[in-house]
Amino acid sequence: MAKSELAAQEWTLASVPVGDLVDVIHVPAEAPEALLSHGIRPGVRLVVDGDAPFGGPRIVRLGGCRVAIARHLTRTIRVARVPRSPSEPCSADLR
Amino acid sequence: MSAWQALTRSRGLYARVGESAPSTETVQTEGHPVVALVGRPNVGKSTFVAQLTGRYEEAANVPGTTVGAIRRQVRVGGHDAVLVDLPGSHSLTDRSDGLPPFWQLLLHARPDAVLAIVDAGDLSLHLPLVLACRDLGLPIIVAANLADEAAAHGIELDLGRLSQLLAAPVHRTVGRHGTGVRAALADAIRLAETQRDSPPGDGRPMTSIPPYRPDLVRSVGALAARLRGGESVDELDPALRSALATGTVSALAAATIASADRLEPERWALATRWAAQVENHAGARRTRADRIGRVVTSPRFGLPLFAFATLGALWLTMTVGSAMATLLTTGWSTYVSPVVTAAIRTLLPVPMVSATLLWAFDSGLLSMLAVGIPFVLTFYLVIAALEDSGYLASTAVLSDRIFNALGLPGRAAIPLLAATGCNVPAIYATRVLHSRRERLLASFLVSLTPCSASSAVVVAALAPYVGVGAALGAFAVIAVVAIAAGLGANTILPGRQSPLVLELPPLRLPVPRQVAAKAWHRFRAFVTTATPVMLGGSLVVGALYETGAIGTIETALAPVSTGLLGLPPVAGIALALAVLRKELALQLLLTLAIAQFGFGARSLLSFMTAGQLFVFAVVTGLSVPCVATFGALVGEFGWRRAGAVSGATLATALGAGAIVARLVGAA
Repeated sequence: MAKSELAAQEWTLASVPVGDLVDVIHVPAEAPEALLSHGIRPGVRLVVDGDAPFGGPRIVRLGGCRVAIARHLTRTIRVARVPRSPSEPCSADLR
Repeated sequence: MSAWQALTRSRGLYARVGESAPSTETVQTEGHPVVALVGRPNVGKSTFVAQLTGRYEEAANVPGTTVGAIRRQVRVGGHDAVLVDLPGSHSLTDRSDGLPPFWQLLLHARPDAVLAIVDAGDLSLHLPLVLACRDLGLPIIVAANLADEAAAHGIELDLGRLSQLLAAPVHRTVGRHGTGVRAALADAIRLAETQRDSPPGDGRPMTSIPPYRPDLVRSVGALAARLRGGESVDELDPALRSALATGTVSALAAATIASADRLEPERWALATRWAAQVENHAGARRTRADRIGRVVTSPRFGLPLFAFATLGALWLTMTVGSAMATLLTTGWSTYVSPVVTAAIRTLLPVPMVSATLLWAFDSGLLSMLAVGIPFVLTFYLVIAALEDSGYLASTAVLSDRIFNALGLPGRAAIPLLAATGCNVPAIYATRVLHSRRERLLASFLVSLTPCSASSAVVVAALAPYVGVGAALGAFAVIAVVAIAAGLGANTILPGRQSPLVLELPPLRLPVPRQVAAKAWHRFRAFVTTATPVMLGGSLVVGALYETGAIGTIETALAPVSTGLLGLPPVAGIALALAVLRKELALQLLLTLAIAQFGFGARSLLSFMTAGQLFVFAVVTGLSVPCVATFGALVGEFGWRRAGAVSGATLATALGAGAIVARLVGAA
């Protein structure tokens, strides 16, 4: 998929594949404050690190920190997928 | 006075709009200067305190270990100070259930300086809170902690540049090893002393103002001016209004706190920019702990590992606990019991009195040695090691879906695991949950969970007489009843479950000294709480038994014990008095049966059927909380809610007992 296509499509934090690098675009106003206080805010870059079993929380990596977020909450967070480029390693991705 | 001291002693963010320094900076507390430790959860504040005071019991690799402000006196480099360890917080307005918002805890501590601890590997996440403290006008020292882990991830900080940006000294620290800890605190104490010695209102103009939006800075300044002018501002939170009226916060601090919603995004944006300026990501890489961290929460390996860890923890507790129990009870019966018995009988020659006292000081203490001490101590050691490794948070993530059905987030796994040891610390451990509703639901499940004492009764009542399979069957019935009751409670109790948002701490090898100190601290608290209850309970039971008053109670309980549960009347008394001491349920049953039916009743099967024993085991396993657990419930939730939880537990136990009795043909 071309870079522009990746970015143009509508994604939520729940719908992107594990291992993806994403930029948070929108966090709903009614989302729990814990989300904002853990740094899940518009503009931050995350790596989708994994999923807990049975549709359990999705785990994202934000800088050096791993945060588990209830799956239904991740469906409300809009993100843009960031194309991977081997020549521009992202620290968040590598860690 | 150094440049940063001049700056931080000045008037904070809004100096340029003519505000005076917040009153919290200048209000003096008696005695030594006060340094507040501030940081996000699990950044290592308690480990700092442990390094400085030698008290390791409060430190844990679990977010949210510190649940209230803890004050400790410390002496560093010949200077005394009061260190206030505050609960981990994400922002000024952050609050844990049952606690006031963080700004209130911080400002009520009346700090002369703040030692802000940040993760050196994750500045963008940690700087917003530092900026918030700075915006209140509090003098700050920064400890860039966990520097070793940051280095392992290939991150080095330009501490000089960070210090320039924050206008505050920054120290490189590794709390777990004590690196840089004393130097950071010594600096903070010096700053606090200088702060105390300076007259109120003294300050120089701010030269380095964080570049927030000018209109926002002006608007906060204007709000502060209105508050200072005594104007009533409707949108002000009542707690903030009363703090302002009592002088705990200045108009400036109040305006800053009231504008948190608009200031926070600015702080986060600034933190990201500054972090990018000072972090050097040379050779960023994954560490082994990162890789293991991913494995333990992965769908393929996570659950088998979770099962292995849980069963391993229980197996270890049972094995080590049993060995220790055998050793202790043999020692007591051989060496101590004869001496205690002889001494009491000699000192108090009245048979009824001496026999009553022996219930407490011989059999009462013996049951502490047989159940309380060995199993609880072992369990605390295992839990402390799991906590310190950071694995407990992973179990919360793995079990999240399971607990969701019960209206709880996965974090509830932590108190429930603790409940299998003893319900009392488990009730306190429900503090890891965020809302009162979740805490009540979890406390209900905790009360229904068989503790080591009631598990021992279930096993001892069934395994020798009916078989191991029956004992396992009783546990299965208890689990099904507890889950059904949990589902019911979730439906009845109004409110909604909060979705899980949980930081997963990095996995680390537990530090033996820290594990041992923590387990010992909790164990000591358990012994001091449980021993008087055990002794008092035994005295009451002994007096009732020795005076014959127990017969009256037996008659009164007959409708429930015999009518509802189909048990012989003596079993009803044993169940009722198990409120005082759970493991007494069985001991009492035997003793009372021997008294009533003679020595032929040595085997439970001589006066109870296998079905009746099964009912007895299930009701004991679920049963009412013991006195100590009820005390913990009252302490945490008040009499009314503690009564409701205990009542619901009793109703569940009796209801389940009645159904099981009819299914097995006992009633």
